[in-house]
Amino acid sequence: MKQSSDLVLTDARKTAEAGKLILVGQPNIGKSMIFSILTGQYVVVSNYPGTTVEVMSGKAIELDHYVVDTPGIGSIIPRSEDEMVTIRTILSDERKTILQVGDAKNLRRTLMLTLPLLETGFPLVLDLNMADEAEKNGYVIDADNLSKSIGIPVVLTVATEKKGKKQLLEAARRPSRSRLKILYDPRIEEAVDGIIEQIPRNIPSRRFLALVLLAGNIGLGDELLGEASGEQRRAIREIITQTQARFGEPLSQVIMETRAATVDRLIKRHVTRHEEKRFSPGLLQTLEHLSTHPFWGFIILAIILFGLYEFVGVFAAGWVVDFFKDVLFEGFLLPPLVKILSALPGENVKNFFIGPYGQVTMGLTYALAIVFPIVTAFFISFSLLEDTGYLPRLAVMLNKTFSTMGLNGRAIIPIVLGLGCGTMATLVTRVLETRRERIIATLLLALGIPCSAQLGIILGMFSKIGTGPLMVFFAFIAAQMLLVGYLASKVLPGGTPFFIAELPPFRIPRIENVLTKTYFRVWWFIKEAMPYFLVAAALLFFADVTGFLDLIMDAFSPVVVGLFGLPKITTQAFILGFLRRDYGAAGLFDLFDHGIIDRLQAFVSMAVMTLFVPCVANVIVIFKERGAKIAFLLVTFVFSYAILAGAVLNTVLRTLGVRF
Amino acid sequence: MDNRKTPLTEEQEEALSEIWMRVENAAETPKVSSTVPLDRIRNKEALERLFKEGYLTREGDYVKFTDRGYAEARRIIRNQRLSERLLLDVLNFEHEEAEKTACCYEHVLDTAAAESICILLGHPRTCPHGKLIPPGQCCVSGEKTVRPLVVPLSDLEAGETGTVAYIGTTDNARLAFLSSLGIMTGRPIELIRKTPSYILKVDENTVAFDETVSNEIFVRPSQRKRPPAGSGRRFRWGRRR
Repeated sequence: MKQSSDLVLTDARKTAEAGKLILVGQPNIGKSMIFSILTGQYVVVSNYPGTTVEVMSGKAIELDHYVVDTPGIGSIIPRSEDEMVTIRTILSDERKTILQVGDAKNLRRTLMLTLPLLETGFPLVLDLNMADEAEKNGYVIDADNLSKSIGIPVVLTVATEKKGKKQLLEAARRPSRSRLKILYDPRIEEAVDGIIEQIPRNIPSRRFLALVLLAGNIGLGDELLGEASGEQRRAIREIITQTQARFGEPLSQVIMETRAATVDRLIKRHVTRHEEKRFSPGLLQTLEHLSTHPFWGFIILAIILFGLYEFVGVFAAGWVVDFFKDVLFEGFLLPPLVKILSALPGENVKNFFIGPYGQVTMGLTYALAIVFPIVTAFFISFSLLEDTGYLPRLAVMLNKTFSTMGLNGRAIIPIVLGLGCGTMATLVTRVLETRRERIIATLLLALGIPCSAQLGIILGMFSKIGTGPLMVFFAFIAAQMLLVGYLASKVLPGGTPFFIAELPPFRIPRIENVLTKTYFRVWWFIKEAMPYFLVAAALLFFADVTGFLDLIMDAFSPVVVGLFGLPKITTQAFILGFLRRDYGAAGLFDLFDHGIIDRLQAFVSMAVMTLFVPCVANVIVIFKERGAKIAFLLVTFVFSYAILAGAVLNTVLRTLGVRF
Repeated sequence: MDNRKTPLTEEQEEALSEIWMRVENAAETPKVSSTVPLDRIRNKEALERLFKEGYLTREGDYVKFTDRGYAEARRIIRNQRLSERLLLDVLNFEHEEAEKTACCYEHVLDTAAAESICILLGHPRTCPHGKLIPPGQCCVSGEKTVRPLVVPLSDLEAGETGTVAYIGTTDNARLAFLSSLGIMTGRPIELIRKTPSYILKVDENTVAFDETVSNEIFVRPSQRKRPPAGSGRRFRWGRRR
């Protein structure tokens, strides 16, 4: 993910002469893990497809290659932006070796990708990963003879345990171009020859490209055709149309069936299966089965949410935050710091650090005492959920709900990730197939999904108000998202795409992986977030000193006081919320803690804050990913909607005389 | 069970049905214990192979069915007579022609197809010559509607298995994606559940998808769910693949 790619990319630019080793494979089979083993660099590894959304590269430790990790691809026909990136990387015009990482227990599927990769003509190595799971399921793979049959090195590895590393390195040193040629139907072969003649000679992998074109991927083919003239393109189109006319079924199916037949032969020859070795369903399998059950699935979801609430809300946001704030900061750290900084000359300089909007007293304290423990707790929980393989099951449970918002279950990953960090999640919307889905997901993330820091504060605050109001609060936010999502799906052109997802087996999370992942995410968060906390405190300080703060507060007070029924001082929290939503939420928590706002006011203000425009970092990413026009519309809409919803909520609650 | 046996040749099937009919001609209802004089069977070569493969046993100068041989013979006879009925009653063949054509049909019909014909004809008890048609599972449970042999996945019940017949889409990307997950013609599948989403097991993959996709995957259900039917349970018909 982003944090490691930044660090790695500069490294990659340093050289060019060493050949590249491109890691390619279906999603969720451990490419990133292999990447880590080869390069010694950490990348976020999870048990769900689509974790890697950008190409990453790094110098291999024991090889001369630069290793490039790519987003997983289902097949050679890309479904989304991230898959497209992989295809481009595979076909780029440079010296390279392809290392296909495949699932050993799912050899059929792995080989279905190996065959087209052979056709690219680049040297290839096949790594059959998760060999332990294959063995557990009773498969015996004859890697040596399989290697002879396809003419490339084949190695078995267990990446999580670093098994097979030596063999893998050895194989990567002596990759080979396979001489195995899959012969298709004569009519297809004729078309392939015809198309190759039309493809400019400087383009690599012309046979592969011809087959991609025949398989109906005109869009991708067109892009890859490079300098081909209009005439050549027309000739190719003509060949495709004519060939299709000679078959009853789609050409892609004809091609696929030939490959499947080849794969079948390979498997028959080199894989044996001991049925009796199949393990009986254990607790994990039972849970796996129940997790998507129409009834028990929701019970399991409820248990998980409750656990999340107890751990993040009650334990981290309550106990740990209290400890950090009251004992560590106000008891030990702050008094000596304040004492030292009091020696600074000038009232304003002193206040810049230790005043009510001081860098230390406000910026650092909020960031480290309140936000840090909560974010850590959230990322631990999230990493645990990821590594068990639960998240794709959540997609199964919520697919129907999502489809009313023009999304499908696939969107669960960016949305749940949004509960960690909206900025990160907005980047991950790339895994969605259509532009329409990406816009809707970005909108929902900006509108309703509170990030972990904010969520923690919400949970912390509601642990003092009550569980009932918390449920009402979440129901209110969820309703807003459903409504806005539904409307957006009606307004935006296009249909809801079909939903297909692979469900990885449940696995017991590996503690060190969970901890490393949490460490990297928290570190990334602090690096990204801390400056904004300090900048936010500084802006507030200057706004206060210059009297600008009073001006804004006056300007917004009709809205805040009139529409939301809140004291004028809450405006300050909302302005903080512009900079970081969690920071604003922390401000609200503080006001509530000091009894400045009552329970009802806390409820309304927190709802508005949640629906409010996301933090600066997120807004920047929205502009970057969605373009200025869409981003501007999104932000304006979310801002107006939050005010409207807050006003309506306040009026309704007060009219009904609700007491919390 | 005996699902690993090699399929019977046409000659062997002929020989089995011949034995069955000899018993009938002797005015008996064929049973496992029925015997027929050895010298009455014409094709000795097929007979030898049936002995060797365990479909028949020898008792002095008589041949006797084994359990397995009896089930096979019963299946063949049933297919043959159902085919005759179909050709004569529904397709209006002439008597002689029907008999000849039915001889070819009986060897290619699988149990599922035979059942469909049986249901279509209203579970006939006798063939056009007045001989008994051995009842099948469908007759015991008295099914009235024929289920197509190839159905969209959405017509399957949760827990049923089958093989993929074809993928009914012209969307190349979807086709490629499904086949990359192992969902392609000829692959065995198991439908785990239908709600909240469809969950399918194919090879070692568990794949989830929505209704739209499930309507595009056409499968040949391998066994149909039925209320347990007492006598019919013994027979494993049509396991010829």
